Amino acid sequence: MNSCKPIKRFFFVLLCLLLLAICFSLFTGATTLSWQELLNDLASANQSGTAYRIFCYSRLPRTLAAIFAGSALAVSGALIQAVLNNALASPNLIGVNAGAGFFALLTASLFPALPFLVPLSAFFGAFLATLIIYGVAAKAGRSRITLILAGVAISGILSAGMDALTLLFPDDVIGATGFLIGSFSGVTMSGLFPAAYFILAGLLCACLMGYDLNVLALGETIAQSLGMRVMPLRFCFLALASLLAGSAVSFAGLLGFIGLLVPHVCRRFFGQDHRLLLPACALAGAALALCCDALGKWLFAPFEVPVGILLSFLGGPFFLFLLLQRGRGRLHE
Amino acid sequence: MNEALLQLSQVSAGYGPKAIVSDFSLTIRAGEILTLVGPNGCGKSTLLKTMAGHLPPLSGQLMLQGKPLTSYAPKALAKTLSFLPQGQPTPDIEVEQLVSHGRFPYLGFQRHMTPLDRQKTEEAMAITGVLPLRHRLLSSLSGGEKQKAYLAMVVAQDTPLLLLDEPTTYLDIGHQFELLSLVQHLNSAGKTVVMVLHDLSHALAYSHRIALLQQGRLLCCQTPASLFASGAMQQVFGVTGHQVCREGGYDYYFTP
Repeated sequence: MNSCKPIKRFFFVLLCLLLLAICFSLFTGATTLSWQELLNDLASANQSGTAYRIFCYSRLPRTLAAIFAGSALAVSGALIQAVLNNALASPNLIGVNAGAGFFALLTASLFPALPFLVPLSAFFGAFLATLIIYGVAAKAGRSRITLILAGVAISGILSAGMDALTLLFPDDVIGATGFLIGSFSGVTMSGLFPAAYFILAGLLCACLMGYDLNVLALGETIAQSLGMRVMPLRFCFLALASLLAGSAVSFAGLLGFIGLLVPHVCRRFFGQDHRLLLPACALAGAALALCCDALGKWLFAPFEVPVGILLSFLGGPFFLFLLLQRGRGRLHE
Repeated sequence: MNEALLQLSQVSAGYGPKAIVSDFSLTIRAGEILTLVGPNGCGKSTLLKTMAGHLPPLSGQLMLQGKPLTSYAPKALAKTLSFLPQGQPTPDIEVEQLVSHGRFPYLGFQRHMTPLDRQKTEEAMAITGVLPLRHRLLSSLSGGEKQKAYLAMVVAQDTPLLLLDEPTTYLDIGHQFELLSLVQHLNSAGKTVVMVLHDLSHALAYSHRIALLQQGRLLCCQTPASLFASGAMQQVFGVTGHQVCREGGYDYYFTP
């Protein structure tokens, strides 16, 4: 039975977790940041102080990057799972990862001198792959299953393309490994900000469209008989999901698992009302990305483990645990 | 009882180029319960989908309240006819939320439920008897309860015409009767009902008229008594029919 009170409590817990994670992330790093020095620098507007510079040019962008990427990927995953009505679905299924990865590698090998092109082309690749997959599915029969199969096929082709590029241009691709694993180190404000605006707009749209997602979850026949224009709406949701995931991928690299794991966990606590589920996913995704990134900085300091590796190491077993624990909140197949 | 609500003239329907239903003409009158019966694969469900506007007809015309069915915008159509397909999904939501989704065609851009929407949701739950289940999760319900919850959603949609595709499938006999008397109750409250039924004795007992289909064509459309007397049903299904007299009417049963 869903009642209002535990939901509020869950949201409160999530918010606290997020705040803790933000603090954890801001205060872990290669150098110990002195609180007092920072406050002094901030108070005296001393923009050349070491503490100030570390905080503004390394810690803050990195923390913001984790927040934006985590929430965008989690919400994107929740959207895709709901629209395709498939528990296995995640952003990689609609080609976001494969498209972004392939185009990022392609740019890195063709224009090794222009590193700033990599995120842009990742973003472009994610969109292109989504459009192709949707186009194929629309032509072939436009059911959810064709969409998923088309996603698997296109991802297969693009992954082969990535492998081919790694073999053909081994030297240029080395720089892109960070991108392929997924990492927040080296994120700058200027790299983050165009994408962050897209993410903010996408999150807002997604949360406003929660009600329609609930109706769509009743299946396309019922949604249609309730007067919903199912095909355009489904396209909107997939475009939104690829916008979110593509923007996140453009600065954070190919982070796996958040898009699959977070919606599953949140569905357990918040049920399947997307008006609650989507904001919850945004908070939980941000908290998870922050924690994993901070853990990566802290565990083997002064060495760093990229967040992508940690996410998969922690997320994988946790997901298996969820599978074994067949409780409520699973999407019906 | 005689105003035409939905009029099908020479409708052919199917998937792709091949018609499953062909040259089908039928008038559904306001206030009646009309049941489509026929052997498996004769096109009952295809026909119902076509009536619901989910499947565009290959040829012919459907007129809903005097206007072509295709001229309706999705939401306007959803305010005029509601369609309950077979095999509904079981999302993890409460019964009340499911029923309230029936108000979707009436919601504005902000998707905000007005007091009227809430009242209609409440009434729909009351009339279908799912009020005690309102806070239960859909996934925790039995087949019969779930079907009633979905029926409540369709009732909340508040349309003059209901299209039900095999509403009694997978239910035990007690729940089948419960659901059918619910349909009868809705009908007496003014709804026109077109449904597909597999059980011939139910069709005979609960309909005003029965349309008998064979291989995508309408064989005849008559009242239960005259259809039974004509023997067409028995012939199409290859069964022997029996009529038992009871107070106020007849009961029917069929044997090989």
